[in-house]
Amino acid sequence: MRIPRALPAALLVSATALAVAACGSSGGGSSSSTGGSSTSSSSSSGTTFKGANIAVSQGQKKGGTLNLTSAEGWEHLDPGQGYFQIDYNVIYAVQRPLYGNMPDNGKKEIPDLAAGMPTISKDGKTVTVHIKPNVKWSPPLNRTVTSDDVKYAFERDFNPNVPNAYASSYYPIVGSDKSKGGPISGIQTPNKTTIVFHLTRNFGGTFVQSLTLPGSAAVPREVAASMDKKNPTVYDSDPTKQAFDGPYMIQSYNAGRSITLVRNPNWDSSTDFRPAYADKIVWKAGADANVAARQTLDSPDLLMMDGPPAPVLKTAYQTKRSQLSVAPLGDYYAALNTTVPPFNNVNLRRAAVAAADRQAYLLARGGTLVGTVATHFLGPTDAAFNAAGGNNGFGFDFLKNPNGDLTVAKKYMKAAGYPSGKYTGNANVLIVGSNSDPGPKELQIVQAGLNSLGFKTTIKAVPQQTMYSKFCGYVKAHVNVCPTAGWIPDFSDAYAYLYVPFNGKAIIPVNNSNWSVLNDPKINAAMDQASAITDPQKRIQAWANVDKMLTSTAPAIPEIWATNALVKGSTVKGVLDTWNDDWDLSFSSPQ
Amino acid sequence: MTGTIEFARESATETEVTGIEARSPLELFWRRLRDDRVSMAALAFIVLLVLVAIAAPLIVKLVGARPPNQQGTQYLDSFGSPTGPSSKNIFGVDELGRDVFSRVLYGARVSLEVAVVATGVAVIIGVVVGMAAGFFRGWIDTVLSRIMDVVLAFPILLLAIGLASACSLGRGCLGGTIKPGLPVLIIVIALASWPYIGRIIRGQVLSLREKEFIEASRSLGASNSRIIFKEVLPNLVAPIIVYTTLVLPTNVLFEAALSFLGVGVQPPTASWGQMIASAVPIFDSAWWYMVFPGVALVLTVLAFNLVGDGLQDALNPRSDR
Repeated sequence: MRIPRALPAALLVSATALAVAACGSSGGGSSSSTGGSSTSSSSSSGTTFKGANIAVSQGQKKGGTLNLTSAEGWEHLDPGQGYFQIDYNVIYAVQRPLYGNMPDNGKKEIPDLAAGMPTISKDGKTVTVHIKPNVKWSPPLNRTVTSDDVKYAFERDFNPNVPNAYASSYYPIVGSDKSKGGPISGIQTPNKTTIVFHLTRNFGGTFVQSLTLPGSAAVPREVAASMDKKNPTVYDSDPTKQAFDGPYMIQSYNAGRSITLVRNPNWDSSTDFRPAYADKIVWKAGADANVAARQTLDSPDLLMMDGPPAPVLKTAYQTKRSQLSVAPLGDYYAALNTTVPPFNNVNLRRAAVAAADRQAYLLARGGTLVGTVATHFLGPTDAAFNAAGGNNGFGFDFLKNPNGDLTVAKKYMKAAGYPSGKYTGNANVLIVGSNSDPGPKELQIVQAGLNSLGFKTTIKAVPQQTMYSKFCGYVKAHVNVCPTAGWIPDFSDAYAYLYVPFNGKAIIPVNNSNWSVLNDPKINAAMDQASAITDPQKRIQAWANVDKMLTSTAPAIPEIWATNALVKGSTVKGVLDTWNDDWDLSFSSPQ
Repeated sequence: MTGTIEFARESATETEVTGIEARSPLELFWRRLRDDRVSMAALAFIVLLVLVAIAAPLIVKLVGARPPNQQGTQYLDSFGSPTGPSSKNIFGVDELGRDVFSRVLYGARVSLEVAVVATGVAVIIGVVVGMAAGFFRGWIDTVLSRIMDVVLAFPILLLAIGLASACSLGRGCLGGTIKPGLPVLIIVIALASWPYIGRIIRGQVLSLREKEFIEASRSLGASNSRIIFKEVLPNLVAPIIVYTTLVLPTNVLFEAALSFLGVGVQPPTASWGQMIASAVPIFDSAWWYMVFPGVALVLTVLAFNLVGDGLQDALNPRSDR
């Protein structure tokens, strides 16, 4: 899923320890690393950072009000449309997908609305799920959740009025490609608690993982159907009117400002793995990131839902380590639009990658505490990371120097037909990014790299949601470079790491997450083949190869493999959701 | 003895005569201004500032600083925080590792360029409109005065923010003619400040045109254009100079404000307002990033104001302030 301004985190968090490269030295901080040797990756002389207690169980108690703050607001509080870290936090507290994960284990699916693990046919093409018979919708609906509600959720996912960003990538259901919102031939509900999915290809193992996404959360037809007739649907325009089957329901909502969750009286804790400690959850958004982060550090009970900006992160690391959590996340990259000049030329893209100071991206986000400089796309949390060359990557010369290498860049400029090494075409490069820290910094970093190759550039800073919805995720906007985009894998498989952001079949006109608009038939085919492999070792190798093809095609400048920093108040018990890389609303407690 | 005395008296009369010798208004003005030490100091500062702005690339080279847009990760610590003043970066670096010293110098260029050009445009429009309104009176005056009222009532800051955000989408407004950057900044600032000049000039012309010397030249059959350019305009030089120097610092501040709000000069071009804006979140750990551009801005505005006051005193000694 897309990540907000802040920091992505990856999935291997069981230990809160993280090696922090040098300069954790105590003496007053800032002067120690002015020498040029701060290239981050693999510096071994690190101290071990023991941050906040983020364990699932830390003696939480029931009751009280959980107070949250954030800089970013919500995009789509609709299980069908939501595809944003900030939205997920709310959706997972108020809706129940078929499967879920415990906060500390993103690799193991556990039944949520489903009664047990699914039955998968031998050919991997038929998946049968039984749902719990005793889960009820919140008032005023009050009825039992049925398999038809799940069926309708999937019909919505493929409804053009409900712009879902991943359904076509993760749910290869028979007949879904022709669906316009009506019944899908590949989904059957033999009875009120059984739902059967017929898939177009052997996708069984991956499919179950994708059933943890909010797109599989039941939606009652009688509530949503009339709203879904509008284009786009109005189901999320007043989320308090939705039906909820999770532990909480949305009591009040002020777009971009605040949201209040209260207990769902029809929720039965015996059917759910979520403890739902707090009685009430009050979340205020739209604060300045620096202010919110400082407030959180100074408060007893606040949880900040997006990451602290670099200067506050430094303060937190130096003075309030027990309120700082740092966990691996996903990756950040600067997507280069492969369909419009100048970056429809692969050599110009490689030149842009070579000219980029990737170390600067890392420092702009807060330095070694927030990740390492990336050399390819699959991050350290992925099983195929080592097969893809680990930290050193595949050895492409345009990714060798983390500070950028103009000589290599010039070589590729020449290969692209610019013998002087400077771009002389007339395309103006439009760079769009987030206007909240560190967005403006990253915009200027990418701009400096491109200017050094003679590109004329225009930079535009907008709120992160606007960046996704009106520019980078809106194919017709033809944005050339999106340097503040980030990706958290939707589940713990390389497919979720690479398919949506880089597969041509995942391109959709609006709400698109393939920001490079990359549609390379060879890469598409390689991904399809890799996803059908069941042998773990072969699968890892196949995905490493996909990563290699991608890295060579240079659809983006890999910036960093990020770790996610989060801050909390001094006494609140925050539980980190390692697969959403944020505080889990249903596990954290105010006391 | 008497002869000597007489001789002495004679020579004394002689010196007195040379002392009373007619001084041009310019000379009088310069003598008065020269005695005003504060204004002279401010004027010296402005001259220095202009020289520094013009010679910025040279100075940056001489001092051994880096160019203003050159980023340098080696000057950031491992948290990405900028480092303070040192021998390599005498004013410290910003959060991208750029040299604050050279950015402050180049910022002076932007500030002066915008302020001078915008003020120039505003003065020209203001003088033309004010003279036309004051001299011709009647319906011309009514129309022009109402236009000035409307512009004065216009929320210029909101207009600037609106223009900048609407026209920064894609390739700009009106086929790329309007997009945020220097030209729009100059137009907006000029638009905001011309009516002040216009009103003052109009008032002056209204009283001037009734003076005897104008009546006289009119009765001699002088044409309107002769009266305007040969009789009225020379008498407006003093107020024009004074108000120009008073509008200039306002426009320096206006430019800084617009850049602070992110709608002025676009990055990576250095501008004081923009530097102050990006220094806000890291002020407690990187004071140098806000202090140096801030001091430069304050000194510049102060200097222009002091010179403006001094000019007013010197050109208009009878006015008491």
